[in-house]
Amino acid sequence: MRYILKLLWLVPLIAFVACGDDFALSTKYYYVRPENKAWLVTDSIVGVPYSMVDNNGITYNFTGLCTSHGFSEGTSGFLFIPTQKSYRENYYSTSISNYGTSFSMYLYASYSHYDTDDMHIYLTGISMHCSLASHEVTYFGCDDNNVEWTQTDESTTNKVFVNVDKLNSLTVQNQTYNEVLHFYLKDPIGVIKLNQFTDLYYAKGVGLIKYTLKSGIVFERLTH
Amino acid sequence: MHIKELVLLVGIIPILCGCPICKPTEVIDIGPIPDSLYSIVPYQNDSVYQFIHSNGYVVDFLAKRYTEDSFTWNECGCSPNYKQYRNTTNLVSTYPSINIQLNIEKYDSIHSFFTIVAQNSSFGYLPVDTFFTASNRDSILINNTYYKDVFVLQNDDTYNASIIFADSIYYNKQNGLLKLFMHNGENYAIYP
Repeated sequence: MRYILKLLWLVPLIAFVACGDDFALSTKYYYVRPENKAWLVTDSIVGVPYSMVDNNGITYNFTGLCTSHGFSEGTSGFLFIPTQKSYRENYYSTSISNYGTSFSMYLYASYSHYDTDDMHIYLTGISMHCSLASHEVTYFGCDDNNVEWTQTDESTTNKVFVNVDKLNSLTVQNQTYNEVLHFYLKDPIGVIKLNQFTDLYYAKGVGLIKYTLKSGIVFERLTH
Repeated sequence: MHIKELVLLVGIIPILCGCPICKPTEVIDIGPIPDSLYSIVPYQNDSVYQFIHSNGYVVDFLAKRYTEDSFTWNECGCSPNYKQYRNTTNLVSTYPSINIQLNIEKYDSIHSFFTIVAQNSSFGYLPVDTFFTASNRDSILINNTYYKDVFVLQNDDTYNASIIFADSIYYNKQNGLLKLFMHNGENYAIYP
């Protein structure tokens, strides 16, 4: 009887759990840090079409650039009991070219680590996530999501090497861009296709400014 | 209401509302696409065709051509179902990534339609019986070669206006696609 009484405290807890998906013992919001919001495409550029030209003189017109803002929900728990609900602020921008090339960028608050925000980019079927504070790559995915990858062993022969650097500036088509993230990869195992990127440059406040396909074709942003 | 009327009503309602009046009818095969129609698209399956971009890059397009049949369907079964034919040619390049689709659809012994779709741009639902006989045509010089009986097709897809690919096309039955004018001022022309 005493044992049963000891377990009585579980009754209100189970009742709380049964209240539905919205229940949690605590709720926490994570916001994108102000200094990282500067990586978003500036308001004056959002909605403005942009063009990129490749090294064969073919122009790609990107339109439909839009940015959306929201919160993604997550739940952590203990013994099936939700203890904390978290809401991570995120910004999403995307654009598509007249040849069907799609580029997307996510800015996520505290996605991989609590103390930093992440940038996610997607182009030509390849996704990369990186921490904006340390430039640690937290995710790499291509068509075959089981591909093994490394950020630490550049001389690897059995994995894809992926990395992110921050450049102080980069000049593209006679225009100099400050604070540029350079996403790049090396593919000793041959999983990346010729029409997938190996280098991608993203300028703070501007967006995609340059990328190179495995085939060697280089695309550069035009200024009008 | 008398019992007799009720029984009559109960008997009539299912007949009016639920029972099929017409039985499923025959399938009429309108016949395969004749050579005269097939020839308005001059591309051969598995052949490679070249076009030159206005900035000089030559693009290879692989042609894939096939014919499918389909059936009309009417819910009541009160009219015949027709077996129709559609011939599709896809011109596909890997770089730059372009897919141009040319369709010939035969609906009956008189009515056939011709359509070109280039990426997100669409040209026509052109009635073959009148378009190739009644439309204006001209001769045009492209890369030092004269082409005759050339038709101009205009993009009629306004839905994708923000990501438009092609504005207009020069086309003739002998050579097919002669020139594709892009929305951004560039073009692809037949490579002689």
